[in-house]
Amino acid sequence: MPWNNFLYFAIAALLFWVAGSVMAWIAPKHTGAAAFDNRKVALLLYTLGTMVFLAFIITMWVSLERPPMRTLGETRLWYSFFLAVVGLVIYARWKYPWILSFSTLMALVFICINLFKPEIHTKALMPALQSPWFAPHVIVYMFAYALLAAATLIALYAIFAKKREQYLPQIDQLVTLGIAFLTFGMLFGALWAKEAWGHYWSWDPKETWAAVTWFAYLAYIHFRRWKPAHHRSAIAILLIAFCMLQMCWWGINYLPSARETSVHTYGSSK
Amino acid sequence: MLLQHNILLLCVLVAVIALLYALGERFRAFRVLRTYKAAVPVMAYVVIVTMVMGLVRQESGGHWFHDMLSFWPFQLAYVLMIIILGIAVVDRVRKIIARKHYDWRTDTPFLLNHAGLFIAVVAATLGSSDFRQLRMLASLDQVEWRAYNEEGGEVLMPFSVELQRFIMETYDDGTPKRFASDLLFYIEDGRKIAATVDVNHPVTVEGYDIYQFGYDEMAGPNSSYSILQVVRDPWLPAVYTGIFMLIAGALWSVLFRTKRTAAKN
Repeated sequence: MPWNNFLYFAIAALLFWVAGSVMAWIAPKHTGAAAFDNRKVALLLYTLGTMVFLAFIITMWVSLERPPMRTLGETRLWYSFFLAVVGLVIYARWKYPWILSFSTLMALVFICINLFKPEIHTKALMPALQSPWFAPHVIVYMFAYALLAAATLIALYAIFAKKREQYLPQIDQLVTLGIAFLTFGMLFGALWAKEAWGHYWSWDPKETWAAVTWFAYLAYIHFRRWKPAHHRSAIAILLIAFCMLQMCWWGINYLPSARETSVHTYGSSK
Repeated sequence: MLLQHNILLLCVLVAVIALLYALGERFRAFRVLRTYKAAVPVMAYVVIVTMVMGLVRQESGGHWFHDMLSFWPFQLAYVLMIIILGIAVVDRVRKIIARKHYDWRTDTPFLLNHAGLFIAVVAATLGSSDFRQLRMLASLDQVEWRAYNEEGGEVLMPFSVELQRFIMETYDDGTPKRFASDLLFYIEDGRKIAATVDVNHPVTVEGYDIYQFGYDEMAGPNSSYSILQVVRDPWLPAVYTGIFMLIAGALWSVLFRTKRTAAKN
């Protein structure tokens, strides 16, 4: 079983990630050849760790003979992976020394959840999930979640920072990109739902919360353009939107109104 | 008849948007509808009513919060959103015409996103009364013309169906891996159409989408009948137009990000 090898892959990936994060702290934010080299080493180490993690996902995919995306445990794998990817992109783009440490820590949390509370990993993929839409629908959503988590983290950092306003343009860019991927995820889901169930939108609890999340982030982007100087309110909207996203992702599994009615609870049904 | 009813509603909606926009030309107060000052509160309102829908268990025919789709504060939220969206699109088009210049980088994503959402939501809402979802029982050696709606009422179809063969494959643990039906359709004009319907792979016959829905679960692979879901949704092309505009708009923002926000930094 590939899941048994998870510990080794996870340790190897984490070692690379920790080494890359440490290098990022050593590399000062300012210019200079030495700092530049340290940053390159940090990027290289972090990329290697991410590739080790991706290698595990691929072995899972091959041995399960289906995309590993059905259970919450499997989506956590993708989430850890995309957290690392987003951390890498943000570090390469904005050079925050702390971002790699953060994405490592977050990935570690999700890896630990998978190690200590593994979901059921069976080979069986029910007919409703056998669709070419399955992989893009989930991957795109996980990428959106990772981007929006990064935006939320920068917002939390900005609350305590002296010059709060300097972080907002970066948050805006991450949220804009996050919304684009939320849109892909939601609409790929709609096109798939038409193929599988006969209707593109049926207000299933998961769909309802996906709509809530989507509109909440749209409200953030429009609020930013409406009142660009109101930083605290903008950050408050962003944090509320992130709570809605959590509700959409896993919260509804614990919600009495959704528990037995949602067609999206594949993992727990077996 | 139903279609006319929808078209009438669409005309009323367009008229309301045109009127509210025109009032903005005369009176300053109405110009607020074109701004974020109207858009953001409406979005907050939409978030709140949709959240309530997500928190309270929904039953069709339920009261108030238990059937948000037929509860007026919920409907009002989406109607307001559609009106604001319509006004925003009209306003942008007017501005493009006034400045005699189409700015590809900013006008295209704006129109794709806003007009796309407008078209998708309007078509989905107006189309919902023309949406037909029926069940049909396809049995071995038996030709069936009747379908049943959600209330159990009988509907005569423009084609009949017969189950040629029920296909079932299972995993080692007995859970279903695949179930599908080889079907033969007899059309009113005498044509015959053979087709296989799988989960996730519907077929379209005479404007109806036919889905594999269920089978005799006690008999499993030996099921002598197959339950089909039959769907007719004449507004689907309009909804898909909106959906693909939204996808294109999102793709645009991924590929060509405006540097405007970055430049301020």
